[in-house]
Amino acid sequence: MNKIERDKDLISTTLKILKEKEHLPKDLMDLLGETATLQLNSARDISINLPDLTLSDSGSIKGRNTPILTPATLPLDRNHIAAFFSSLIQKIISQNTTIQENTDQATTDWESRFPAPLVEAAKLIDTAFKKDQLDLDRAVDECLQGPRPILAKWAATTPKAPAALNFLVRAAIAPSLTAGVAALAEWINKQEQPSEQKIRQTGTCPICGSLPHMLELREKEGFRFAFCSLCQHDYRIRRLACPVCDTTDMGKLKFFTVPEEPGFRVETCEACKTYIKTIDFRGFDRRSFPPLNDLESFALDFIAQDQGYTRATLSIWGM
Amino acid sequence: MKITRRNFVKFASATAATIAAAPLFRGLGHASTGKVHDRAKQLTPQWSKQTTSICAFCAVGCGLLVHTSLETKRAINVEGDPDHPINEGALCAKGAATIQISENPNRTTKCLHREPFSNTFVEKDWDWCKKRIARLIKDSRDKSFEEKNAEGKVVNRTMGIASMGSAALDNEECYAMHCFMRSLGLVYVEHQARI
Repeated sequence: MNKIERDKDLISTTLKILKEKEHLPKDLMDLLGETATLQLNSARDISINLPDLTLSDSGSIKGRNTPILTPATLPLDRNHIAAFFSSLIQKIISQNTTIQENTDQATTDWESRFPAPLVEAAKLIDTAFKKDQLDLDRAVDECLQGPRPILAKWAATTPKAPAALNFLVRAAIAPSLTAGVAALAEWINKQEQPSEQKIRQTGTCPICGSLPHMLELREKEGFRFAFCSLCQHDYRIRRLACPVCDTTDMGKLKFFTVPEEPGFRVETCEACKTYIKTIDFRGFDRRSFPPLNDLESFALDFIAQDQGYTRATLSIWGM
Repeated sequence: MKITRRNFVKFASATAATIAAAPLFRGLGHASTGKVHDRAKQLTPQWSKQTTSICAFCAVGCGLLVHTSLETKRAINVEGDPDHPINEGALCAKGAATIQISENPNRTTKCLHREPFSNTFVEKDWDWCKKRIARLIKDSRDKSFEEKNAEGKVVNRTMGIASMGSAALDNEECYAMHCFMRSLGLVYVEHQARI
């Protein structure tokens, strides 16, 4: 089984677990699951030109806390993004058509239906894109760097699904970003001797400088890894430090667990009043898939927010 | 206000938090998240904190992370500290069982005595036990004490008693115990970790 097959298996297993949780919105679950599978399938077609990280750059990599790139300079395959954007829209529209046809035959599988307002929004976006009324390259830049006039305009145009364009663009960027960042991470690791690969002393991503959206405790030793909310790179950080404001005051760092949501904990910081969810599957026979694990532990977000904490980033899906 | 790097990061994170305060997982017109909110209301968070500590079992000094319940103020888990330069999160079997020093329902909390040839334990108080132990030590020491060895040199020792320290003793306890054993004239003073 190659990596793509393994990852598909992982998505499928995670979706099965999600579907056992009756409180989670089924339409969103299906949408995210199918988008993740589509992203995985398209990974083979990506062609990335890595930025020229010269030897002088590699010197600064050792011991640095500043990222090597910025969101504006992340390597992207714009052709792949455009192709994926179209195929995702077609997937959403066609899925709904199939369901509509099934509805006529009274065999609707409502659980696999995508959200209707999103489908309507996708149709509008598709039409605009085909007529060159939507500048995808600019929308991509807005997603990565802001400000967001195009996304704001489309949020107003599709009020029932205001995050539709943002979601579609983020989903289209993800495979390209992941491939580029994986190559960059490999390059960085080659530059450093294993003994020099230190624990990052700040919570931000070493590649693009964004904050993490989730954390994970790995292996028996409990190494703490962060998942970047923009480029999805995972990197090791300190175990006892806030990944948002970097405070190391143990008196200000607390966490809570809920017996009904095993495998997750929510870490909070009294200094910046933020929270971040941590995956801890060390006691379970399962692997993590943060884009879906985030939705799986959605109830914990409500608890944390009820306790007066705010989340520092949105989900990896841009909403 | 002086702008330091930490202040800057705090302001930046506060801004990010404000942006993220927009409802999570919403905006696609999908089914209501009301059920998730209802479920969240049924759940009770169990708050804990983590504190770094050092394993007291031996001289290696492995780093520990002690999880303490904020409700009961008792330790609920002890694991290796992955950021500690000595053990990098790993612990030996004794270190991994550190929590049992303070939290172990099976731990004996009263003195139990079994008479020679008896098959039952009888509860005894500390005074009785201390007197009994002192009596046995004194008898053994008197019986086996050697003032001089075969060559006539003064040795003031007893070869009839040995001491074996526990790995659960800390440095200060080991020092006090060592001094006491030597004052009795013991030669065989050992530690469990060396065996």
